[in-house]
Amino acid sequence: MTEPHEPAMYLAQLHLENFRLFAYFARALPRGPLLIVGPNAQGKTSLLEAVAYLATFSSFVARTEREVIHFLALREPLAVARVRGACVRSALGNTAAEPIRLEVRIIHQARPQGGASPTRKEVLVNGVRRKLVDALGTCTAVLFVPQMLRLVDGAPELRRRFLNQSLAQVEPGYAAALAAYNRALTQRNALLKAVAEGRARAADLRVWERPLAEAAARIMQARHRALAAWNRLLLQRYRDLLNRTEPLRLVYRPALDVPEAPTQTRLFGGEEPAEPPAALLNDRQALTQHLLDRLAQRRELDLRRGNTGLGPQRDDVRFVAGGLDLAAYGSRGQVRTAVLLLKLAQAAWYTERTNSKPILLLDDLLAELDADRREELLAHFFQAGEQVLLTTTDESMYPARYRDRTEVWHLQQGQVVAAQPASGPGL
Amino acid sequence: MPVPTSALPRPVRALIEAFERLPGIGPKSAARLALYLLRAPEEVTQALRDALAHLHRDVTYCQRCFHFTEADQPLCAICRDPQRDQTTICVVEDPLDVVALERTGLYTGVYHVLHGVLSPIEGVGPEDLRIRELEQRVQEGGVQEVILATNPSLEGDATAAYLVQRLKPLGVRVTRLAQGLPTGGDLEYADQTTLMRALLGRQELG
Ligand SMILES: [Zn+2]
Repeated sequence: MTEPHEPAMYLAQLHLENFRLFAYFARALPRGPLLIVGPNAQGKTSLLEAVAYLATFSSFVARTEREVIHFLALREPLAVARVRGACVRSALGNTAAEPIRLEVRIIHQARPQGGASPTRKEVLVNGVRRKLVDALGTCTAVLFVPQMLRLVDGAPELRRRFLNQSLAQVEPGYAAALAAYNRALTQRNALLKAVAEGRARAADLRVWERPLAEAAARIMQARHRALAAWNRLLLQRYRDLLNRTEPLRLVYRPALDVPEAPTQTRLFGGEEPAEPPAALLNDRQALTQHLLDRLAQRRELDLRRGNTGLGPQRDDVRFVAGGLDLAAYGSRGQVRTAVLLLKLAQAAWYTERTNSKPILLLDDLLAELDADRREELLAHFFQAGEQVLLTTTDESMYPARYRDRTEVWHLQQGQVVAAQPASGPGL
Repeated sequence: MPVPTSALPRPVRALIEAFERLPGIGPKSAARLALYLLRAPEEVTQALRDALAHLHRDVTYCQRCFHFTEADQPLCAICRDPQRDQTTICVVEDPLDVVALERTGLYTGVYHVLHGVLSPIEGVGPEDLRIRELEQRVQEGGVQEVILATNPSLEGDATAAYLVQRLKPLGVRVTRLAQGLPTGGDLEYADQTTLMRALLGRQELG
């Protein structure tokens, strides 16, 4: 139980058109916890995905953006999925700020000549079109879906996407740096190809390496600082949750092309990943210069490989506890807890950065945890956010002590067939 | 919205498709333009037909700066103007940037139009732009300053960086428009005050 209404972000209204199985959906949301109950494939996860769209303008779940558009709408030459929400960032003392109307459109257009143009997106803030990078941060949310358990041992690309979506919401300039980086990288890689085919000179690579290094330094520094902050929060607030002895640590592995510090071999054959070169990562100018030098030095190598072998597109993060890399040595339960801890740290960091708690979106959080663990984690999540949206297939897993403060929706085929508002006081 | 083949006669559809190939024209505006022309009086279509017919026949590139000029004039109006300062060359991406800079009424030098920017993705390298010709103009002597006024985009900046490498060894002063133009924005759309400030605050490079 916390003081009522610390500053928090919440969504007052959610409105969907042609999003996944929701041809149309409109509903007011409670400011506190909301439990969405229903069998699988009724739209529970899609509701959370929709809210996450308002925060990141992208999906963590979808393989292609096209798949979030309702299948019937896709038969039309112009198919538009819309997610609209009224976002409120409440201030201290329970004075609600003006809601900001946010709309994300995912648009798929057939070409008259046949074939399809790529899916594109538009974002409107209070009815006015904005660049995506300028509208980020209007709504802040932390999403957990069970697919994220793969963050620990899945492909590095997943961890980079997670970092990007997390940082873009609260780190000014991050999304713009990422866009600039990707464009400069595409140019340098195209030129590498042209040089290899004898159509251009290797010396011309230089003019693309300056913007590449500048954007890379910005991204890598932001990642380093965010991970350092998460580690601090994990240590301060959540050190006991994983295995009662050692806290979870996230080890940043930036692709800086530096010789690695030797890995420490632990007892029982575990290997602790080397720490990143903090001095270099903390000094933007030195970092940019380092990247510029390395890019110049490795032109021959990159020409043979056909792409750029260093930079944030090759970064990684390891999850470490008790000196062990959880990707190799973590039990199923440890991996699950580690990802949930990461989400708690992310939420706490958002609160520090934006002075208000983010919306929490927790898909199937309660599964595979014993009752004590569930209560313990839920208590932390209800502390980390005010508007907490949870889904479950089994309502009985939801602890009774939270029941009367929680609004409950029963969802069937994209419809709320029964709803009970919270009866008790807010959390 | 694509026009269903049965809905309109072939010539109208052909015109709509021709409009759709133009930059900034979507299917809806294309259809609206075509229907407008169909209903417009003869002189409107006649004027358009004449303008289009003369476009390629009567317009060519200036032999010195590669801005547009009329076909019977080897040099453009700016290069021909004895009042213009031939010792200062402003390098721009395309002719519309010349128009934008001329609107400020502040610039008295001459231009050099590259007709593009470096972009390996699109296969555009230095030899696809008028860079060799720019180098020649500087080598011929009499040029004191080259102002790089490519757009403040990734490609515009890279092109400027490339030009510094090529021009600096020739002993000419090379400057770049001051920051303050919106990044990724086009010179063409910058307001006059911003453009003037950028021109006056230009900084030496290299
Ligand atoms: Zn001329």
